[in-house]
Amino acid sequence: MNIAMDYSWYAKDKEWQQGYCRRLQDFLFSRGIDTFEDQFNVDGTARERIMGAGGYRKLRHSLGWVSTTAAASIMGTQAKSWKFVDAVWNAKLEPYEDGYFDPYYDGFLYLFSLMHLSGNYRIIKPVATENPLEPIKLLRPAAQEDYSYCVLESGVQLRIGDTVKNILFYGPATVRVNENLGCSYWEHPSIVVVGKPAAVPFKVLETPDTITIVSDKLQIKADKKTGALTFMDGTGKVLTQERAQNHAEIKKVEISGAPTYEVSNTFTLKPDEGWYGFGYVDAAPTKINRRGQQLLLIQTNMGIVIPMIISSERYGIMWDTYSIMRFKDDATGATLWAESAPGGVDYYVFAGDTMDDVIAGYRDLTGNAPMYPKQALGLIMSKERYQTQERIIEVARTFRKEQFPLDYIVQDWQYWGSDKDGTWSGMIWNPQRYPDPEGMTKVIHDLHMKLMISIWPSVGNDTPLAHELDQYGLRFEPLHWISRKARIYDAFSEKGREIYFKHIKEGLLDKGVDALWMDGTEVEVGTACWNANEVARDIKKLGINAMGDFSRYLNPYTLMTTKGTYEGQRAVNNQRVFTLTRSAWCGAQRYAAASWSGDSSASWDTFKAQMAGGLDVTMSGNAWWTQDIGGFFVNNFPGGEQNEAYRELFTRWYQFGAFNPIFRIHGTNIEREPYIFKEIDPEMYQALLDITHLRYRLMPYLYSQSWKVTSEGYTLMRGLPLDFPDDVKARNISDAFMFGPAFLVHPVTHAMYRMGTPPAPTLPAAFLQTPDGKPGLAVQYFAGVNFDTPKGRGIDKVVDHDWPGPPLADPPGGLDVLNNFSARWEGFLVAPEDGEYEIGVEGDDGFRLYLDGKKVVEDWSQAAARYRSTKVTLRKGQKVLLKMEFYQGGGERVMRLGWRTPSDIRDLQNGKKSMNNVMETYLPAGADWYDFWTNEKYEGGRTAEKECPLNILPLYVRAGSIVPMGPVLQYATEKPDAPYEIRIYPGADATFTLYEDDNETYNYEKGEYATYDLVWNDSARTLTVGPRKGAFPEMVTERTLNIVLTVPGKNAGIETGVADAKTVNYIGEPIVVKF
Amino acid sequence: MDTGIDYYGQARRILDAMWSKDGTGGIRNVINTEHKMITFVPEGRGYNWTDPSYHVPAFFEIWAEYAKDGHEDFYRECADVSRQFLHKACHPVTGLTPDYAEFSGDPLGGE
Repeated sequence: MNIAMDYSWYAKDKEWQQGYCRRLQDFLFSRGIDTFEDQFNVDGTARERIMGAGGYRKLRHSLGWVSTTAAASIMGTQAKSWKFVDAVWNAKLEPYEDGYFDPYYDGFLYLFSLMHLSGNYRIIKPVATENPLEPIKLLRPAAQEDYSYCVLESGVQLRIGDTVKNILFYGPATVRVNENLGCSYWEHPSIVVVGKPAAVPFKVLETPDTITIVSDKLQIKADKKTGALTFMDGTGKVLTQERAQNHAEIKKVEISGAPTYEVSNTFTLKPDEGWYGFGYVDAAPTKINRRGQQLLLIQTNMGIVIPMIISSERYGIMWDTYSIMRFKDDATGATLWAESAPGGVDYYVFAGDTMDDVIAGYRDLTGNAPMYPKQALGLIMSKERYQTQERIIEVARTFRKEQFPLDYIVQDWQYWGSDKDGTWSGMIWNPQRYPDPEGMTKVIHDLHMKLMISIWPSVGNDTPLAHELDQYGLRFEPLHWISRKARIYDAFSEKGREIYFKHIKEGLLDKGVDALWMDGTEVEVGTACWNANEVARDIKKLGINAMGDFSRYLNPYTLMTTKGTYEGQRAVNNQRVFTLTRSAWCGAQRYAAASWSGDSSASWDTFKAQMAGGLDVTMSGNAWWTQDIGGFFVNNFPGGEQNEAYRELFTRWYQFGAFNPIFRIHGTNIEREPYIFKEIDPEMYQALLDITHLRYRLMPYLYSQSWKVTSEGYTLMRGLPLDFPDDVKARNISDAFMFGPAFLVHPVTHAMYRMGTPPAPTLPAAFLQTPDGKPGLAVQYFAGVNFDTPKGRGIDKVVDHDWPGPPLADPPGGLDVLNNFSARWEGFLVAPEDGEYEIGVEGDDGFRLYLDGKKVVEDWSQAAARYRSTKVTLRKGQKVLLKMEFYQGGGERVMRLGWRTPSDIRDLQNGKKSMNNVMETYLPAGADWYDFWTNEKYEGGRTAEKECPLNILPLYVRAGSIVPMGPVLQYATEKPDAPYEIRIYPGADATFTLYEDDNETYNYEKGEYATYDLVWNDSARTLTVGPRKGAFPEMVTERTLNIVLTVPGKNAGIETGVADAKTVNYIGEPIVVKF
Repeated sequence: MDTGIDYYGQARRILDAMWSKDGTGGIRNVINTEHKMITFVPEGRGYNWTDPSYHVPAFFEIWAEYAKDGHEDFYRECADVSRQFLHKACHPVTGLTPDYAEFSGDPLGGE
């Protein structure tokens, strides 16, 4: 059979091979076609010593021998060869008469023989344009030169010295550059790219020093000496270029026993060029423009790293590499380094006439974002956490009773059981607290709300889901750090995803759950993922997944797990998928996965960072992003929702959230359902209600924009460079953005009215005395949380501990471990001046403070760091006995003694009086602008000032906008046949395409939707409502349109515009309205 | 054809592993590089004889054409050597081969 294969494929030894077949078959035929034995001496005589098989030692007319001798007939030149073919055709793969059966040798030889004889056994050749991971045969090897190239169907391959560089079109304005040392070590295709190499027409122009690939929309010039590329648009204008010298470093290395490359590649950028993207990198500066930054690209709790950028020069770059990466832009260039890039340097360049074209190129390559249910555009109420089904129903009903609009309510973790038992995310419900999940979801649905629920990639050991995964070895060994009874499932395994989804469906979706909230998708294992290096360490400890080692697949766990849940949901019904995930990656948009920025901590700085980080996510091509309004942790505002300074922060944060793609409240520590503020803080409540009403009034605008996201690769939340890339000033604005084509949003990111107090300073050593008169306090540590076993003693000059976990910190005071210990400090406080002091403790976990033997502060509980203080009046020089106690259970560990002197307190009060409530907003050049609240008009290219009471944020509308609005709603799909108010902001021509469909299903993919264009002609002062295109069963065929023109002081703000409204009844026929 | 399987990558990993064996732990290349023939086993003395049923000249042709691992000429030679070997190993009358053979094509140990 081996010889027959060589004969049929290569025929290089034809004559001998035909003769061989004749000789062999003649000999065997002479022994009887139905009886020839399977063992002989080579000369054809009988064997004396028979070799055994399967415990038998006998001669057989074996199936394997019948099969291989039949395959020889491929070389047959005599009629007798057909007898051998008939013999194998009539043979059966079944036990011999004595019961012996050999499915391995006999079975495989039989299988191969039939395949060979079928005539279809052939070479499937690696096709360069279909699998560009494979280096392509050089068609024009230039013998005496270090450089050669060959033209392929979709691009060009260069060879320069030892490196091979493929430049392949994937679309008219999309090109892939893959450079390595002649071999790709990937074992699987890209998990990101869904596009294929494309036969884009191009020609190759050669000069002595360069070759240039010229297509309609892109030109790529290669230097023959270095291989460095220059990318130009169709007219030859330079977009960007690889650095002229040392544009790439490619080193073959071995990681986890598999070959791969460590790589870096460098671009030379233009001086003022803006680079945006890489997602949300939480240790990065609060600036959207990545120029001059250094970034470590590893998923973290708050970070959402995405290796994609767009440039103000109208191009984008996506690196198809999944390992740890570092980005650095400095005088030497913009460099991306990767720890493990098995294919070598591998990136895609997208060009376009507009910034949106660039992002659309990325979406074409990695998959378009499907539509969300319309209700995903309404308000989402989430909290850590509703603990029973009664409570979640009570909250849902209260929203309706208070008429505070809401579309989704969210169940956070531990509905399955506790965080410490083995039930973690088993897709099950705790029967005591959730006795009737189906009844609960029915109540929620009857209130016209949807239910989103938390799931994790870590699966509790004592669940049917874990048991089924374990049957296939599809959970990794390391335990999740909180439960210690849960393990991560292998989302890189198709079987793993299938089992995971099967339990989601049976346990959650079949009970009426509408949407999945996928927490900890970095993936979280050993810590809460605050520190990037710890995340990388812990993910690598998972070892090898179904596709390869975790060094090469470090970052995209989220993509694989959301792939499983998206494809699972698509397969079982026609309802639109809406998923929230804590990390994202290139391609995440095609799995309906919106990302959110993790467990933020409430502060004005964090709030501001959300905006810059979120804009870098949306400008990385992932349009759907959200965050925790109000901050997840609320530790630095004593009293939480009772603290008026926090409520100001919450209000401003909420106003920002109303202009996020997904509008979502979430957090722990405090109460934050908006209706609770109706009593606590009516001014704030009105501000929350106002902006919520605006969000719901904008539903026709928003839903139409979401269709543009799906159909055109559009982006809803837009850094100013997306619309104004040539306004150099706008390139560096990180705290304002466009929300769709019309609105410029500039959230207020500092306190104006209720200046919170800064943290109390740490009490200095100069004012502390130990019992024996030294500066500081005496401290004694104890093992156990209740001063159980005395350990070491010492002196703390100041008390300001923030012990990191091992191995970064050694346990203090003779302790063995950094958990389950306690400590006591003693000494004196000496007052430096007369007056009232504030003395307090910031601790995590429990603490107490005694002054002159009296307990003045106590919070003896396991909790995140918080500050508790007391007021005490002292005379200058007064010496107060001070004692402080602390215990650490688990988790973070902090202990600090702080104070404010009488002069500190006076300074704070004076500071409050000088607050300024005017916001200055830069309005980009190239357009005129309207103040949304007044319709006062401004020229672009200048700064506008706006006084901002608590219910107002600077909000400007671009002149030449059409904004369709609906009524105030309680949920996004309420009042489907209500009139639309069509607001025209004149000053330039404008077009808006209104989009409608059934709001819930994928029938739009089959063409069941309707659109009509609104066109404003600014010089003719006419609005043309175009004919309706398309239809769907639930379509509202007749709608009242109230068309209003904005003029200063009229038809402004949230209220319905009434001045000079022109009302028409639209039935799908064109209408022209003149102003 | 998009099978979802990277045949090239997997094949290269095996070939690269084959070439990485330098005798450490008694394991050498599965091809006897001196005789340019497939060995019985790459371990120990098994490196010094061959098995006629292991001879598949077409495999070497495929590697020569598609492996791109720098051993193209070697593989091409192996294909020719293998064909010559089969001429000697197959009995001139019956076409039968011994179970194990010297690289010369004679039965191993004169069996």
